[in-house]
Amino acid sequence: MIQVEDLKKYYGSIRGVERVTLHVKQGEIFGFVGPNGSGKTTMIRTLLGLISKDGGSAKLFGKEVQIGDPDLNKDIGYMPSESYFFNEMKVKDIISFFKSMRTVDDSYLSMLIEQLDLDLLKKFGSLSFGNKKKVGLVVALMHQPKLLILDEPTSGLDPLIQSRFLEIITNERKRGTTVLLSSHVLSEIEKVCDRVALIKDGVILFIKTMDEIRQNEHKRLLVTPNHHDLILEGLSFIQDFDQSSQYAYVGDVNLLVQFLAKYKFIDINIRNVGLEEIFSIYYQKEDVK
Amino acid sequence: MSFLSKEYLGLEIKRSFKGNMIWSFSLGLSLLLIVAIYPMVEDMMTALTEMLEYLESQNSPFIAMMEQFGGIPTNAMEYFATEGAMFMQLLGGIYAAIIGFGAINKDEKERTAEVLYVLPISRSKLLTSKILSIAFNLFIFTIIQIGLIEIGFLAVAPDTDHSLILSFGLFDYMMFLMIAYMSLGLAMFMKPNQSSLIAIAIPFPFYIMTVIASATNNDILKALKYASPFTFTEPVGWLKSDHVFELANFLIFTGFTLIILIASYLRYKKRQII
Repeated sequence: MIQVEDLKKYYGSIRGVERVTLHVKQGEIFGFVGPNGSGKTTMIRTLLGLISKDGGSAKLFGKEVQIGDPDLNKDIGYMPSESYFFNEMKVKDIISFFKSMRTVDDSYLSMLIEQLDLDLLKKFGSLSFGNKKKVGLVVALMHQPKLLILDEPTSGLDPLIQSRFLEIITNERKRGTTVLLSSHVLSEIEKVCDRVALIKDGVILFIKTMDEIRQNEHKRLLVTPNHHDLILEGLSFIQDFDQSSQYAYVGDVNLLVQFLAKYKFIDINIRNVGLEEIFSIYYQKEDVK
Repeated sequence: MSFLSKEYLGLEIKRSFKGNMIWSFSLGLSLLLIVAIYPMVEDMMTALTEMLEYLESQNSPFIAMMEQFGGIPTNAMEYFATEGAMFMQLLGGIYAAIIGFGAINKDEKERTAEVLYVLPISRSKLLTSKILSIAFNLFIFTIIQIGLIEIGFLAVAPDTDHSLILSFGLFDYMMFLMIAYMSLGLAMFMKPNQSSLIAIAIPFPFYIMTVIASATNNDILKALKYASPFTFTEPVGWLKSDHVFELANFLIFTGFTLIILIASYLRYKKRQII
């Protein structure tokens, strides 16, 4: 569905993306993660033919992307990271215009408007950041495209709408829609994505399935007072804080609890390391490299 | 009609409606006021004519200079040509330049281009729709000017040859289109995020060239008239020359505008959002 090979884009002397290779299969939700300025938006805009590339190849539906080529657009729904429409127009007129440019199922559009709680009567310019994003989501989703490219879709949305949005794209995947989801919100990547790519400084650091990432998931153990002599398979010392020692643990939690019962502590804290922390660890690792 | 998107054309017209009405009525009512005060300045014109007759008897060089600028108006139409029509040309030209430049620049500056360029519609259709939207807006703008000027003439000088006013309107409309499309071409060759005020750089030098060309006997400077689209619309010269239309000037700028439009189509196909 999406094939990007050695994509390179510079804005004059400023790096956009240096070397991006990724393949997204039909029907998968592909997460695209990276810090600000890492090249996510540049890659998305290149894929959409909004900007030119300096090297490599970018294909959608097997066809090389060209600037200003409208043929691919009928099967794509795109939401930019910030929602910009016509400030002087009412939301219903904006929706009506984009509907007129696509083939839209009225009942699906009504469902989107209801689920995302869109206020149709306000002028776009008077909407809050979050409500503007909701208009962007409806415009991107309304024609049920084969490919959805969403750049930071949930930033600024309240938790209820975020969860409804995730439900909508999960349902779209069931219908066979492919989704490229660029996001800073790693919890939503964790919830819905099949695979995820990490980009940093214009270079893809890795592409892994969520299962592969979860295999690296571990627990963090914090014991008070300091102990440096805890020796168990899967348990490794990380660092000391003032009165506490921190360990990482990979393995059966029951074994860990049995092992810790042999010692006397003032306090014990065992927690799961989330995706966010795992990515942070990857970042640090790559920095060291 | 496959060469344009009527939905997008409708959107463009809708988006620009309010601004178009404000410009149209602001300038149109000013022109109406200029025509309406003609009875009050008529006596002043007569006094000036008597003064010029005296100066002519004294062989004053001032007479020759006044003639270069069309002399003292002798009727309502000449008065309007001197005081109102030139005003309409210049301010209308500025408005045309702003909307022509804005047709490209606005979507890029307000970042709506990012959602428009991913629609299943070719850039050629988008541009054709923008070009037609400009033509429509300028048509409405010109109709409102002419309508309000007509109201003024019907009130203060009903015997005026009204076909002259319609001719001014027609010439101005063609000139406005040329200025607007030149400005659209200018926007196409500039980076996004530029101010629309840059477009004013187009009508001003043209206008000055026409003024200089019509106010001199120097052959080289007179030739400047061919380098400005204001020449074929210049109202005083047209009236004084027994309505001889500056066809060469008109054809030069029609050709020039067509070249700019063709270049704009080619450029727009590959235009990037940054």
